[in-house]
Amino acid sequence: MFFKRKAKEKMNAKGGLGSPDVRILTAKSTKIISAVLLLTIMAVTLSSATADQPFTPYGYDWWDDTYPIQSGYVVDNVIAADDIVLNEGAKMKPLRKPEDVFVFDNPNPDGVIIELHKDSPLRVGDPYDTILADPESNEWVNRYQITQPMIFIADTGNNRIVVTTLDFELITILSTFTYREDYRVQNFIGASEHDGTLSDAAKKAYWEEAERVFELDRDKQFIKGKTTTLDTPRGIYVTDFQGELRIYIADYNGGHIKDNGRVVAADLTGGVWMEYHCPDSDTFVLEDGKKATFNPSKVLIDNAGTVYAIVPTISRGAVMFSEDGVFSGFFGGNRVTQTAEAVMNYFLRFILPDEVMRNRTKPVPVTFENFTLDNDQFLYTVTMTRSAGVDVVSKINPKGQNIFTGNAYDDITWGAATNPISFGRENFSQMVGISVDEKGDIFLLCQASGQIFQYDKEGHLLFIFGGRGEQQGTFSVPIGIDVYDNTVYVLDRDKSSVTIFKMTEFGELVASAMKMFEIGDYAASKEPWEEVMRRDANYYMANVGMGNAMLSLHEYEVALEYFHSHSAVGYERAFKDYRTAYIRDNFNMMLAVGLGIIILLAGGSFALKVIRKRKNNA
Amino acid sequence: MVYDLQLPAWKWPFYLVRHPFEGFEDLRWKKGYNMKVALVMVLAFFITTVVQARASGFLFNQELPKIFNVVPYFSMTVLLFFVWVIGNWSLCTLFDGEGTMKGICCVSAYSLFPYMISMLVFTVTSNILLEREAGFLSFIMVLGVGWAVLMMISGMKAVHQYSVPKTLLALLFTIVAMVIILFILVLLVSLGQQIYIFFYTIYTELLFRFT
Repeated sequence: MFFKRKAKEKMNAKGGLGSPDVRILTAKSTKIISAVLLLTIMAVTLSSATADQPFTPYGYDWWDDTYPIQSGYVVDNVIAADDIVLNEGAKMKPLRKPEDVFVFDNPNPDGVIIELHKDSPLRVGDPYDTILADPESNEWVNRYQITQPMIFIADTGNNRIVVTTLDFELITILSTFTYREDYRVQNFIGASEHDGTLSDAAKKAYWEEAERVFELDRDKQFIKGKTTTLDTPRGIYVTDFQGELRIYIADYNGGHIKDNGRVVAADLTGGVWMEYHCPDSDTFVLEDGKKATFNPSKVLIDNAGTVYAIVPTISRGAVMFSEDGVFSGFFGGNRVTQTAEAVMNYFLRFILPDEVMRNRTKPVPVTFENFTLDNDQFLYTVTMTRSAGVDVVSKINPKGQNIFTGNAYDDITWGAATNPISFGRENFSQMVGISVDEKGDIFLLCQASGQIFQYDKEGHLLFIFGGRGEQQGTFSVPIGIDVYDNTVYVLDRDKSSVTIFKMTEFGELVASAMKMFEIGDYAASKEPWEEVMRRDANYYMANVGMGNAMLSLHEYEVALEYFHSHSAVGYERAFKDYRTAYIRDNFNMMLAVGLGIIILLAGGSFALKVIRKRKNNA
Repeated sequence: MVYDLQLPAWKWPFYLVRHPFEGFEDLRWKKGYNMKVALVMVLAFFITTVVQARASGFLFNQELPKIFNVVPYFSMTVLLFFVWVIGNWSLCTLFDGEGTMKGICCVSAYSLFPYMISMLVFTVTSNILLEREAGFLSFIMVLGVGWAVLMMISGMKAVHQYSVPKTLLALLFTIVAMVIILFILVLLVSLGQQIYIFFYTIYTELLFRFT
């Protein structure tokens, strides 16, 4: 025990063998003890290398072979299904098969005000006000102001939304929703009464809708909103729209799949002011022309108020609604993977009659699984199916095209690299989640391997962490991911848990270097890259970064060394400058050598001719 | 220019590169076939391939091997060359070809000469040029390969005394013959392996029984 502790201390102090304490002991036992010591140190080293994480952090080199690197993220905490408790310590009904997590940082400095009943077990700090809500029954409510970031979890199995603080203290649970008085239908009713331009059928539809959501009196005047509950909410998105907190819930309606689901737009107290239903449009059809059902699994909203919903059965892209709830088409659908069947169909079209071709199965693009928006309002989608050959990860421009193709992006392999050396080892990643952080870094969540892949905005791999398993930091069925403030929140459907990854010091170092690298300030990024290199000389991006730094400092030869088998583009740029500088510096010498060679050749051939002539004459 | 065609054996490849058409007829007439020169050429071909794989610039050699193994290069050059020669010989002896094994071997080896030169030029210039100037390099390689193919066709025509269409057909079927030979080779190797395993099993079984 004594030696073990000593060994540990020694290792901590010096990180090596050669302890002077050993030499005090008798010569005979030294050998045995040093062997024991060595074993202990090995054990300590090994355990310290793996104890904190159940996975080995690694990266891909130039040849797409894996190599170990220092970890960029480590598990900070795991929130199990029943770890989220009510404030009084009472147990909340544990999470059940949650499917989406969203971290919302309120940009509004006033935050959001939430009213909770006085007897409510929920408590978010101290109430700043208590008001009388209902004078008749003398009910008082506490008012709270929430300015801190919030975590929204779509608790799919329990048909509710759980809202917590970043420390997973419960803020509120949204399970019953009430239609607000300013629900969209109310506006329509007003419009119809004012100008009377609507047809009778439309009027009838509006009143049906009004009766569905409101309790109306005999004069069709609003009494109060009806309540509604969710059915399999699978996606959630929260946004601050013009100073108002809006929660969008993709209510999948999994219980009776043939029925349509909806997108519910609500506030933090559970008041619904908008719903997006199955579009009653001729263009809302599947590829084969059949009427589609509307079962949204994921939803998001952009700055313009446009709502995008993923419907898994529709492969033409995200279903798009304008702000006032009108279906306005599909957006950003994947391209068809060029399979052998697609190619064959292309040729068969020339041979077979139209009737036959029509009955052949058509290759359709794969529906994307998840999407997200970055700070610049670009839509990123991620496709899960293994067979998807194109558009595994897309960054979609306003035209609806993937800009992660062409030129420099073509060679990005998202997820596990396909190793060209070993046959049959294919890209087995199944991307189920995507999140883009404030810096523009892309985080992909792979369901097959349980890994999270972090890329910078140009698709350079930064870190891989996570895995499959039962330990902390590994997943059974990872399903949702969100990133906030360098912290990664990963939701596991099977374990109903949220795993929190925090950035390590090494990760922060890389991030600080990448920050300067991405804006092109290579010279300034030299110092942090050097620090990264000092800790891990193999780190791929550090080599590229150092190459760029050296290039901007006109140290071409050093830059070439860094770029070699790390970046062809960088090597080309450095080599161009290197070559120019070399020719400039050695031009006189090269000219002299060139002239010398020409003179020698000419003189030699002339001399040969003379000799030959003499021989022939002789 | 008048050549006295009493060339020493090592000079023939140089002459043939400059005279790819009538040169091979001269070679046949003067009986300039020399196995030593041919073998040196094949060896040089192998070495040039290895040099190109190792020494060409990073920009043009991005699949540069992490762990270098010379065996695949050997089989890609030397082995494939002799399979070509054997395939061609076994095909053309059946179809009125006049070429001997020695003749075919020498003609094929000499034809590799321009390809080797272009590979060497490629290796040197790839260390000087940028990727955007890759056109020069592909031009060099196309020139070298084209020249070599031209020499191979005219050499085969001369050595077998074929017409041009028959030569082309023969070359095409030589490739088929090569495939068959390689297939049989692989078959033999795997069969031999199984036989070896069979006898080895008997041997170990006996060892277990009698010890």
